[in-house]
Amino acid sequence: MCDQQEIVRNISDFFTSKVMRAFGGKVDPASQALGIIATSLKDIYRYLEPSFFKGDIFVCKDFNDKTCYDEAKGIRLYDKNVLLNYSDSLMIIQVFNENSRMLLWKDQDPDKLLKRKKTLVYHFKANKECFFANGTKIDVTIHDRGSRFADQFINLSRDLHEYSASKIRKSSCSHFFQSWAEDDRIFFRGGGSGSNIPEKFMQLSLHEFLSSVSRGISISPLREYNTMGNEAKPKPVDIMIQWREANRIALIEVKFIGIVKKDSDGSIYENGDSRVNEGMRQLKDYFDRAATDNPRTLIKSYLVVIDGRRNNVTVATRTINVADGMHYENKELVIDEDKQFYKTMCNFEEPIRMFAEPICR
Amino acid sequence: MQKRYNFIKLEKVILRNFSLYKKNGKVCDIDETINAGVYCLAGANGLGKTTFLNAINYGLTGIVLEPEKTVYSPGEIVKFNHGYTERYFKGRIVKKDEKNAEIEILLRVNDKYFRIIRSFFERDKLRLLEIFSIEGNTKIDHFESKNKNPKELNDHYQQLLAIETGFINFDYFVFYQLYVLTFDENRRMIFWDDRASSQALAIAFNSEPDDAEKILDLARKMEKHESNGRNARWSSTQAKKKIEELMPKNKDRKSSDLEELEREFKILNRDLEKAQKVYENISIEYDTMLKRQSSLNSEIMQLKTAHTKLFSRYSRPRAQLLENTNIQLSIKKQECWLCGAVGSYIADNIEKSVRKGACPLCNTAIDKNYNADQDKLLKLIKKNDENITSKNSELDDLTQEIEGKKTDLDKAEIELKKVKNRVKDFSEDNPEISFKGTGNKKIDALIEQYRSQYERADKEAKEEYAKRDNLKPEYERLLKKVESSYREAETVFVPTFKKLAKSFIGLDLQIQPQRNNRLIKLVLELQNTARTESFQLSESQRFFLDIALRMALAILLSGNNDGATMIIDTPEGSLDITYENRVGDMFAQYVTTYHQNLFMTANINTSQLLLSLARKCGRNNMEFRRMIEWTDPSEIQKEGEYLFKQVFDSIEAALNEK
Amino acid sequence: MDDQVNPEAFFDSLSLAHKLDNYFDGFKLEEIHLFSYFSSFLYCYSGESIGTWPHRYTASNGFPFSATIYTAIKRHIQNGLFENKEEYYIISGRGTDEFNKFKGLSNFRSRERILNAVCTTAILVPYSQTVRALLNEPDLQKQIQLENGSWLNQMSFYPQFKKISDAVGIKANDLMIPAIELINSLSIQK
Repeated sequence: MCDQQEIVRNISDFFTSKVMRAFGGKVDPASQALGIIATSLKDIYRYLEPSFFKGDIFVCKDFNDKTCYDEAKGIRLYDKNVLLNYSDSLMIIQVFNENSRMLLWKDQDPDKLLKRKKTLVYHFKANKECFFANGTKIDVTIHDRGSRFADQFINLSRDLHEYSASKIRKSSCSHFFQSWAEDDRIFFRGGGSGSNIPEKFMQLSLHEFLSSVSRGISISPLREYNTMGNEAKPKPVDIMIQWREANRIALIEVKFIGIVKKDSDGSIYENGDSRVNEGMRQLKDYFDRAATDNPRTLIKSYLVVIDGRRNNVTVATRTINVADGMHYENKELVIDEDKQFYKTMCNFEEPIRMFAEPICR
Repeated sequence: MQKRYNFIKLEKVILRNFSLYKKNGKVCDIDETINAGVYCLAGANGLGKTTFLNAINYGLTGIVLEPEKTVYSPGEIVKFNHGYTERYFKGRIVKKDEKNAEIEILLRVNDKYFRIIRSFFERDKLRLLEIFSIEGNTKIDHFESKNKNPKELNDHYQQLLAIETGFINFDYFVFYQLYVLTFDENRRMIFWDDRASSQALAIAFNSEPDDAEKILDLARKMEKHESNGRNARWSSTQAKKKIEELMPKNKDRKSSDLEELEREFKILNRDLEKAQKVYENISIEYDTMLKRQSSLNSEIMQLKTAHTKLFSRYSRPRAQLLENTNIQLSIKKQECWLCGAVGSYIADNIEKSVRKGACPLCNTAIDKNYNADQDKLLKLIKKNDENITSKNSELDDLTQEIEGKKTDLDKAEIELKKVKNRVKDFSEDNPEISFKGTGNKKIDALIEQYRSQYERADKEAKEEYAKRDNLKPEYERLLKKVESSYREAETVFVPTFKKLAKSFIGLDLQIQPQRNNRLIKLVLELQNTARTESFQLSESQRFFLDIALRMALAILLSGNNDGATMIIDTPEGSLDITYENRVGDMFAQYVTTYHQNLFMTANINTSQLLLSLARKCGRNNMEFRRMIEWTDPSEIQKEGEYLFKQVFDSIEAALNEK
Repeated sequence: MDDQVNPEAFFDSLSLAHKLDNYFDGFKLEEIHLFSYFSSFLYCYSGESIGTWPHRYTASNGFPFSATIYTAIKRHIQNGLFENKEEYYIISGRGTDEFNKFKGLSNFRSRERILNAVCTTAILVPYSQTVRALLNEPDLQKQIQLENGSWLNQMSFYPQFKKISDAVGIKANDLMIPAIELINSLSIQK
């Protein structure tokens, strides 16, 4: 059955099979070691964010639980928060059958580790992860950044993209739907202070979506939109996400670009790239503040830009055609160079632009 | 792969010199062309509709089934029904027409036409057999009938038809034609008769045709062996009784010539006693072990039941506090129902109190002993757990020992047999030594006779049971194949049946195969009810569901583009009007959605069945024939002529609707 | 109220909840049934007969469903061992305590091996892929179509899976390897 052959090949190519084959006859201890390393990584990465690493991390399991280095030179990890102290350098962590036991070494030579037989070793560096099994290196990287075993920020990113596709694109969310001035979705609703500000609906929409699809997080309750925002009472970030069981915070700022039609007098004004750059700057401010307030927390910042730009629109426009309506579908945002924090700082995600289609006639 | 059959399609039926059908006093020939879809023959009671159906089936198979409920297996049908067949037509055809009364049938299977003529009084002969196909306007013959006598013609017909239809042999064709595809006036239901159902399923759900034959054969053989074994056992018990009655007290009888032989005999007997003792001892030990195994199993089961009870008690929720609706609502809404305070801390505080075992309102301690009780229960659970583990390991050890002991027992039995045989041989060679007789030659001879009877019967009983047991594994294996064949066919069979059944009974039914003892049958359940609830069906509902099941089966098994033809004789039970309507729907679906055929007879009454059938089928799919053309109406029927006309007219109108 | 609670269901649901919450930050109730169904395949793989697995499943709303597991979960919720977080559940502190109390029982140790294997598998093969693969199991799919209320039959797919596992040829007593193989085989089923 060629189907079966294909399946067998797939399984044999999967990294767990490669690890087992590398250890030849010692499949059971290897399998056990792999399981323990996997569950330990889940635990360790609660306290560390691999995509923020500047150093190396090794996690190893000896089949017979013999210590890989001199135990006296190591640190017994009782409180894993201490790992944050070493995330810029080399860390070697050994895990054991007894799952409360973890030893950490800082200044040892990793080559010695890689030469050991009967030891399975996991290695993460510069967003690449692999296993060393009996001298064979097996690459297991599947994400551009971060680790497959630390999916907090990765899942959030995925959820935000899912939000874009399922809720924003065709305005399929009952909250977001209310941020438009009319049914054809050419103009955003607007007009200064008061209740009809599109941002409010957008935040509500995103808030609700994230609450329903993401597990293990708590989202900051919505605050009253403070339009004035003075020095004494600065506006907080739109959405702050805290992980219940991991040392992470995500800051999400929601901005929109497009044309706003004022409720009061029907006049229009435009939000463009400058708004986005403003958002970037604000986000950086939030980040700095949050980082100061929570020096040991892993923080990532996201700028979500809801893109409702349209071409050739005047105050008299009532309907829009495909060419003008979809003109900005693939037009990327223009961010000032000095605000491209995501290029240099791992705490910033590239801005996520979510294009919202109008009804084209 | 599910085996499919090529069911026959009736094309033409011609009856000649069939005295029952007279028009204006003269015997008339019936010449009916059978359409695809529904062919419905309507006539008043007593005109001979059932006879017509029986004649057609007779023409096809040479058999009319005796009106009793037993469903015979394919190999037995002829044996048990040929007598009735021979008598059946005598009452319906006058003597002078006997020689010439015959039925001619033109049928099609695959691309071949079979034309046969069978006399009503020679069921195993054919007066004519033609097999041909038609290409363009040319008729191509596939059978040379020259130089073949009527018996040979019939044999060839049976062989060739079986080949074309795909049935393993003609008997299977007959089984399907008469029991599955025909629903006659006897209302023999297949699916509520365990044996019949098991047979029908074994034949339908077999990927290899031989298997069905094997299963039925094995079932028959196993029954036979079991019954033989029982008889033999009874005989042996009887013989033993007689021996005991006749056996005297031991009397010494010495003869000097025989001392040597007697000594040898004594030694043999001693060996026999020893072997017997060994065997008995091991047997007792084995028996004790089995008893210990049985009681261990029962102890473990009790412990497991206790375990379940303990867990249930342990996890019994602390009902009062948590289930209070106010408390639940407060926790859910994060708002105190008493003071109205709002906040996420509300839920935490309430739960803390509850967990501490204090009332959140007045702080009275509730269930002070809760934690202590739980700890006690936990200890019991742990202890129970250890007990179960240790008993299980004891059971494992015991099971191994039992295996060993069984081997010893078998060895001892073999040894005992050997010694017994030696004694027997010696006795046969030296009969005068063999037992201390009564002194009475006659009685001794009688005892000897009974003894050999006993030994024979005992041996036979064991052999028969052993034969039955030998067949069991193969039978189980084949039955399992049927089950797995059924599972494959399920994806087509179940939705078809459900759809047909729903159109009739209006309920969602579920259908499962069930094994009991040596049989497989299909069991119906109402969807979304607990499995243990039975649901009541009236007799009429049962028989239409039986029809639905057969229809689903026929649909599943139809191989070529032609569907099967289901033959149904006056399908009315005591259904009320809505059900009559639905039966019409079900039949119409069978024909229009699944492209099968229906050959039915009907009474002339105001039944909704025909009307709804006609409406759903329309002229293209249904032919409505009045028997009045071939029969003279009786006085009563003449009186009711205008009523009949009304019914006919409404049916014709319904046919025109589509 | 007084349904009997099956001890294995009590333990299995608690253990699965503990791990799924621990590794994936929460679980939906139907995922407990799903992973229990997953476990039954490994039970066969370990040499036992499926007839002695304490749970039977039907297809309900696209997921496997076991009445024994359902009753146990209901109890756990009533006792505050599982907490409702609107869109999913988590295990409470008390739940974790209870699990720790029971995981040492000798009769549960062999079960714990299996449950551990299935949950660890979902770390190594990402969680969403594991769930998708399990929902793709052929007999589950068939019973979802038929709506006939029949019991799910692990023996329908199991022989095929065993053949694949033998062909891959990694001989292990540890159950994580066959668990991963099972997920991989199911991922590619049409």
